[in-house]
Amino acid sequence: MAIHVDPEGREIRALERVAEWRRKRVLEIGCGSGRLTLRLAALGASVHALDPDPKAVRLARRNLPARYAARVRYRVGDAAQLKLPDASFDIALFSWSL
Amino acid sequence: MVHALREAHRVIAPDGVVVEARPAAIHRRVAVQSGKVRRHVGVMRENFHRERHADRAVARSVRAGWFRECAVRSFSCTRTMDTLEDYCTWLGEFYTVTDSPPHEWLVERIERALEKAPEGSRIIIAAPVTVRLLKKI
Repeated sequence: MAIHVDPEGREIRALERVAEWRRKRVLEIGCGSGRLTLRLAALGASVHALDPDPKAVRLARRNLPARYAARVRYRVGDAAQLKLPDASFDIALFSWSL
Repeated sequence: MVHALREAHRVIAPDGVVVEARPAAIHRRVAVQSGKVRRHVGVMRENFHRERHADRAVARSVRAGWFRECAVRSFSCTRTMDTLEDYCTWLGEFYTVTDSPPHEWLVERIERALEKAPEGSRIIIAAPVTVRLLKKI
Protein backbone atom coordinates (compact mmCIF):
# COMPACT_ATOMS: atom_id res chain seq x y z
CA MET A 1 0.00 0.00 0.00
CA ALA A 2 1.31 3.46 -0.83
CA ILE A 3 -0.55 6.54 0.33
CA HIS A 4 1.50 9.74 0.53
CA VAL A 5 0.13 12.81 2.28
CA ASP A 6 1.43 16.16 1.09
CA PRO A 7 4.41 14.81 -0.87
CA GLU A 8 5.34 18.38 -1.91
CA GLY A 9 5.80 19.42 1.76
CA ARG A 10 3.43 22.39 1.46
CA GLU A 11 2.03 21.93 4.95
CA ILE A 12 5.37 22.28 6.74
CA ARG A 13 6.17 25.35 4.61
CA ALA A 14 2.82 26.90 5.66
CA LEU A 15 3.61 26.10 9.31
CA GLU A 16 7.05 27.68 8.95
CA ARG A 17 5.42 30.86 7.68
CA VAL A 18 3.09 31.25 10.68
CA ALA A 19 5.50 30.43 13.54
CA GLU A 20 9.13 29.99 14.55
CA TRP A 21 9.69 26.33 15.52
CA ARG A 22 13.43 26.18 16.25
CA ARG A 23 14.16 25.44 19.95
CA LYS A 24 10.45 25.63 20.79
CA ARG A 25 8.63 23.25 23.11
CA VAL A 26 5.78 21.97 20.95
CA LEU A 27 2.73 19.99 21.99
CA GLU A 28 1.36 18.25 18.90
CA ILE A 29 -2.25 17.16 19.36
CA GLY A 30 -3.33 14.43 16.94
CA CYS A 31 0.09 13.25 15.78
CA GLY A 32 -1.21 10.03 14.18
CA SER A 33 1.73 7.98 12.98
CA GLY A 34 4.10 10.95 13.30
CA ARG A 35 4.11 12.30 9.74
CA LEU A 36 4.23 15.95 10.81
CA THR A 37 6.09 15.29 14.09
CA LEU A 38 9.29 14.35 12.28
CA ARG A 39 9.07 17.42 10.05
CA LEU A 40 8.73 19.63 13.14
CA ALA A 41 11.70 17.89 14.76
CA ALA A 42 13.69 18.54 11.59
CA LEU A 43 12.92 22.26 12.05
CA GLY A 44 14.57 22.09 15.49
CA ALA A 45 11.51 21.79 17.76
CA SER A 46 11.19 19.52 20.78
CA VAL A 47 7.89 17.74 20.31
CA HIS A 48 5.57 16.09 22.82
CA ALA A 49 3.20 14.33 20.44
CA LEU A 50 -0.20 12.98 21.50
CA ASP A 51 -2.78 10.82 19.80
CA PRO A 52 -5.78 8.94 21.20
CA ASP A 53 -5.07 5.90 18.97
CA PRO A 54 -2.57 3.49 20.64
CA LYS A 55 -1.90 1.72 17.32
CA ALA A 56 -0.89 4.99 15.65
CA VAL A 57 1.37 5.87 18.59
CA ARG A 58 3.05 2.43 18.45
CA LEU A 59 3.70 2.92 14.73
CA ALA A 60 5.05 6.43 15.33
CA ARG A 61 7.44 5.13 18.01
CA ARG A 62 8.67 2.39 15.68
CA ASN A 63 9.35 4.94 12.93
CA LEU A 64 11.17 7.45 15.15
CA PRO A 65 14.74 7.92 13.87
CA ALA A 66 17.46 7.75 16.54
CA ARG A 67 18.60 11.31 15.71
CA TYR A 68 15.28 12.70 17.01
CA ALA A 69 14.88 10.35 19.99
CA ALA A 70 16.02 12.99 22.52
CA ARG A 71 13.59 15.63 21.22
CA VAL A 72 10.45 13.65 20.37
CA ARG A 73 8.12 11.88 22.78
CA TYR A 74 4.98 10.04 21.71
CA ARG A 75 2.13 9.48 24.15
CA VAL A 76 -1.41 8.15 24.00
CA GLY A 77 -3.66 10.92 25.23
CA ASP A 78 -6.89 12.85 25.07
CA ALA A 79 -6.77 16.50 23.97
CA ALA A 80 -9.65 17.43 26.26
CA GLN A 81 -7.83 16.12 29.37
CA LEU A 82 -4.13 16.82 29.04
CA LYS A 83 -2.14 15.36 31.90
CA LEU A 84 0.49 18.05 31.51
CA PRO A 85 1.57 20.97 33.72
CA ASP A 86 0.40 24.55 33.12
CA ALA A 87 2.48 26.79 30.83
CA SER A 88 4.85 24.00 29.83
CA PHE A 89 4.85 24.56 26.03
CA ASP A 90 5.55 27.41 23.62
CA ILE A 91 3.28 26.11 20.85
CA ALA A 92 0.27 23.79 20.80
CA LEU A 93 -0.35 22.40 17.33
CA PHE A 94 -3.66 20.82 16.39
CA SER A 95 -2.66 18.81 13.36
CA TRP A 96 -5.95 17.99 11.60
CA SER A 97 -7.39 17.08 14.99
CA LEU A 98 -9.72 19.85 16.14
CA MET B 1 -13.41 20.71 20.79
CA VAL B 2 -13.78 23.76 23.03
CA HIS B 3 -12.41 21.65 25.92
CA ALA B 4 -9.34 20.81 23.83
CA LEU B 5 -8.75 24.50 23.09
CA ARG B 6 -9.21 25.30 26.79
CA GLU B 7 -6.61 22.68 27.69
CA ALA B 8 -4.23 23.99 25.02
CA HIS B 9 -4.65 27.48 26.50
CA ARG B 10 -3.74 26.11 29.94
CA VAL B 11 -0.58 24.24 28.88
CA ILE B 12 0.98 26.96 26.72
CA ALA B 13 3.17 29.68 28.23
CA PRO B 14 1.81 33.26 28.58
CA ASP B 15 3.36 34.32 25.24
CA GLY B 16 2.55 31.00 23.57
CA VAL B 17 0.50 30.27 20.49
CA VAL B 18 -1.87 27.65 19.16
CA VAL B 19 -1.41 26.61 15.54
CA GLU B 20 -4.50 24.95 14.17
CA ALA B 21 -4.28 23.16 10.82
CA ARG B 22 -7.08 21.22 9.14
CA PRO B 23 -8.75 20.73 5.78
CA ALA B 24 -11.12 23.56 4.84
CA ALA B 25 -14.83 22.86 4.38
CA ILE B 26 -14.40 22.53 0.63
CA HIS B 27 -15.09 19.30 -1.25
CA ARG B 28 -12.02 17.24 -2.13
CA ARG B 29 -11.24 16.90 -5.84
CA VAL B 30 -10.15 13.51 -7.15
CA ALA B 31 -7.99 13.08 -10.26
CA VAL B 32 -5.88 10.48 -12.02
CA GLN B 33 -2.38 11.64 -12.84
CA SER B 34 0.07 10.20 -15.35
CA GLY B 35 3.33 12.10 -15.60
CA LYS B 36 2.43 15.77 -15.43
CA VAL B 37 -1.05 15.26 -16.89
CA ARG B 38 -3.83 15.33 -14.27
CA ARG B 39 -7.31 14.25 -15.35
CA HIS B 40 -10.20 15.30 -13.10
CA VAL B 41 -12.44 12.37 -12.12
CA GLY B 42 -14.90 13.72 -9.57
CA VAL B 43 -15.59 15.67 -6.41
CA MET B 44 -16.19 13.96 -3.08
CA ARG B 45 -19.44 14.53 -1.20
CA GLU B 46 -18.81 15.47 2.38
CA ASN B 47 -21.15 16.84 5.03
CA PHE B 48 -18.56 19.05 6.86
CA HIS B 49 -20.27 18.65 10.25
CA ARG B 50 -16.91 18.28 11.97
CA GLU B 51 -15.38 21.27 10.19
CA ARG B 52 -18.27 23.55 11.12
CA HIS B 53 -18.18 22.33 14.70
CA ALA B 54 -14.43 23.08 14.83
CA ASP B 55 -14.97 26.55 13.33
CA ARG B 56 -17.53 27.28 16.03
CA ALA B 57 -15.15 26.05 18.74
CA VAL B 58 -12.37 28.37 17.51
CA ALA B 59 -14.80 31.32 17.31
CA ARG B 60 -15.99 30.56 20.83
CA SER B 61 -12.43 30.44 22.21
CA VAL B 62 -11.75 33.87 20.63
CA ARG B 63 -15.02 35.31 22.01
CA ALA B 64 -14.17 33.92 25.44
CA GLY B 65 -10.93 35.94 25.40
CA TRP B 66 -8.56 32.96 25.46
CA PHE B 67 -6.94 33.71 22.09
CA ARG B 68 -6.55 36.38 19.43
CA GLU B 69 -6.45 35.21 15.82
CA CYS B 70 -3.20 36.55 14.32
CA ALA B 71 -2.86 34.86 10.93
CA VAL B 72 -4.74 32.57 8.58
CA ARG B 73 -3.14 30.84 5.60
CA SER B 74 -4.38 28.28 3.10
CA PHE B 75 -2.58 25.90 0.79
CA SER B 76 -3.58 23.03 -1.47
CA CYS B 77 -2.72 19.69 0.11
CA THR B 78 -2.53 16.56 -2.00
CA ARG B 79 -2.70 12.91 -1.12
CA THR B 80 -1.36 10.47 -3.71
CA MET B 81 -2.31 6.81 -3.96
CA ASP B 82 -0.77 4.17 -6.17
CA THR B 83 -3.78 1.89 -6.56
CA LEU B 84 -7.56 1.76 -6.34
CA GLU B 85 -7.14 -0.50 -3.28
CA ASP B 86 -5.23 2.30 -1.56
CA TYR B 87 -8.09 4.68 -2.31
CA CYS B 88 -10.68 2.22 -0.92
CA THR B 89 -8.58 1.73 2.24
CA TRP B 90 -8.35 5.49 2.75
CA LEU B 91 -12.08 5.85 2.01
CA GLY B 92 -12.87 3.34 4.79
CA GLU B 93 -10.92 5.45 7.30
CA PHE B 94 -12.47 8.61 5.89
CA TYR B 95 -16.02 7.29 6.50
CA THR B 96 -15.29 6.51 10.14
CA VAL B 97 -14.00 10.03 10.78
CA THR B 98 -16.40 12.11 8.69
CA ASP B 99 -19.70 10.22 8.58
CA SER B 100 -19.92 11.08 4.87
CA PRO B 101 -22.25 9.42 2.31
CA PRO B 102 -21.00 6.40 0.28
CA HIS B 103 -18.73 7.00 -2.71
CA GLU B 104 -19.13 3.79 -4.75
CA TRP B 105 -19.98 5.92 -7.80
CA LEU B 106 -16.60 7.65 -7.47
CA VAL B 107 -14.73 4.36 -6.99
CA GLU B 108 -16.26 3.14 -10.28
CA ARG B 109 -15.26 6.36 -12.04
CA ILE B 110 -11.68 6.10 -10.76
CA GLU B 111 -11.53 2.45 -11.86
CA ARG B 112 -12.62 3.42 -15.38
CA ALA B 113 -10.16 6.33 -15.49
CA LEU B 114 -7.29 4.05 -14.36
CA GLU B 115 -8.19 1.48 -17.04
CA LYS B 116 -7.82 4.17 -19.72
CA ALA B 117 -4.71 5.79 -18.19
CA PRO B 118 -1.12 4.63 -18.82
CA GLU B 119 0.42 2.13 -16.40
CA GLY B 120 1.88 3.76 -13.29
CA SER B 121 -0.83 6.42 -13.12
CA ARG B 122 -1.72 7.54 -9.61
CA ILE B 123 -4.84 8.76 -7.83
CA ILE B 124 -4.61 12.31 -6.51
CA ILE B 125 -6.91 13.81 -3.89
CA ALA B 126 -6.56 17.57 -3.50
CA ALA B 127 -8.11 19.78 -0.84
CA PRO B 128 -7.27 23.17 0.63
CA VAL B 129 -5.93 23.13 4.17
CA THR B 130 -6.26 26.16 6.45
CA VAL B 131 -3.64 27.05 9.07
CA ARG B 132 -4.65 29.46 11.84
CA LEU B 133 -2.37 31.14 14.35
CA LEU B 134 -4.04 31.91 17.69
CA LYS B 135 -2.06 33.92 20.23
CA LYS B 136 -2.74 33.34 23.90
CA ILE B 137 -4.24 36.34 25.67
